[in-house]
Amino acid sequence: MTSRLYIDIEKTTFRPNETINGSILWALDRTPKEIELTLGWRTEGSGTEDSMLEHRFKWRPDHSAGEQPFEIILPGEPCSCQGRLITLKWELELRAHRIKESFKQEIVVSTTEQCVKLSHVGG
Amino acid sequence: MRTRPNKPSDEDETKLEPHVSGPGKAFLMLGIAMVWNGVLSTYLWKIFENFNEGSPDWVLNLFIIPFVLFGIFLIILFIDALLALSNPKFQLRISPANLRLGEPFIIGWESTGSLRRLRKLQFTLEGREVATSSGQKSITVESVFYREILFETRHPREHGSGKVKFTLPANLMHSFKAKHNQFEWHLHIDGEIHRWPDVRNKYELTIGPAGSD
Repeated sequence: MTSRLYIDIEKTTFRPNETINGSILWALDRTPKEIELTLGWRTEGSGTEDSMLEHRFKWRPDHSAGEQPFEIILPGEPCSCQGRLITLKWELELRAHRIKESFKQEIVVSTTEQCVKLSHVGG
Repeated sequence: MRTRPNKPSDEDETKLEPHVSGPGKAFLMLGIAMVWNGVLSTYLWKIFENFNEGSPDWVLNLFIIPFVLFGIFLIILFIDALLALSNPKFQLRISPANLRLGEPFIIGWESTGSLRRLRKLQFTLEGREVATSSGQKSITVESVFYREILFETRHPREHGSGKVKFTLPANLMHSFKAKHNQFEWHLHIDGEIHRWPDVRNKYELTIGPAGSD
């Protein structure tokens, strides 16, 4: 494990409204005051970035290392998408209070269980 | 500009309203033409005065020509929008009201007005990415990712009313609106009229993801 923070999930592709079951793991030099897990989407591409935080969970751990299970129900939309101008990505992010490191895990949210890929139609 | 997307509801059918109404477009063009030509008229008056005094400023005269041409173009656009008010009117209904990718839907239409003038009628469904970068200069770029002609006819008998059934592929992007990035769906109605402004109506559709609740 290169990072001292880790998000353990069984898969990285989900359907809208599906539940993500997983665990967060940490092994730090000292006991963090707080550990935060967020789930959100953001856009990349030609336009200015838009983003939305859909879920935020906070824990106050008793030890410098440990594991905490979590369960998140995904919203119905938006779906992950890779277009010519806009890419929409979903991401889980784990942060510990006053520790610069974070761990990010990209996930795909799609009804077809594949990132929607769009190409330009001429005319 | 006024935007009236079809609002999702539990009803089986919903009425579609055009993205910009005919009178709305005419008023908009009138406003723009009046502002542009109003500002321009102060310079034209100055040129007129210079001519009367026998000391024309030829640099100003040449410089203003493209602005005058654009002013004339705006007046033509206003007249075009005004003439288009007499074009046939279309009333559209779509069912189900909650459109989803991968699920069939029906578009029904009824039209009134001088339908015999229509040479060709075409319904097109279009999906578009719209990205805006906000900086010192705000720039918006667009890319069409889906275009499908749903209906096309040259028979006047089919112009009055009808229905089209269609299913969008499931592996496309649903409607999405954020501050700077959008995935938009539109239905276009285009009607060709000989020696007259064509029918060009645009309707915004809200299409949800496939198979979601």
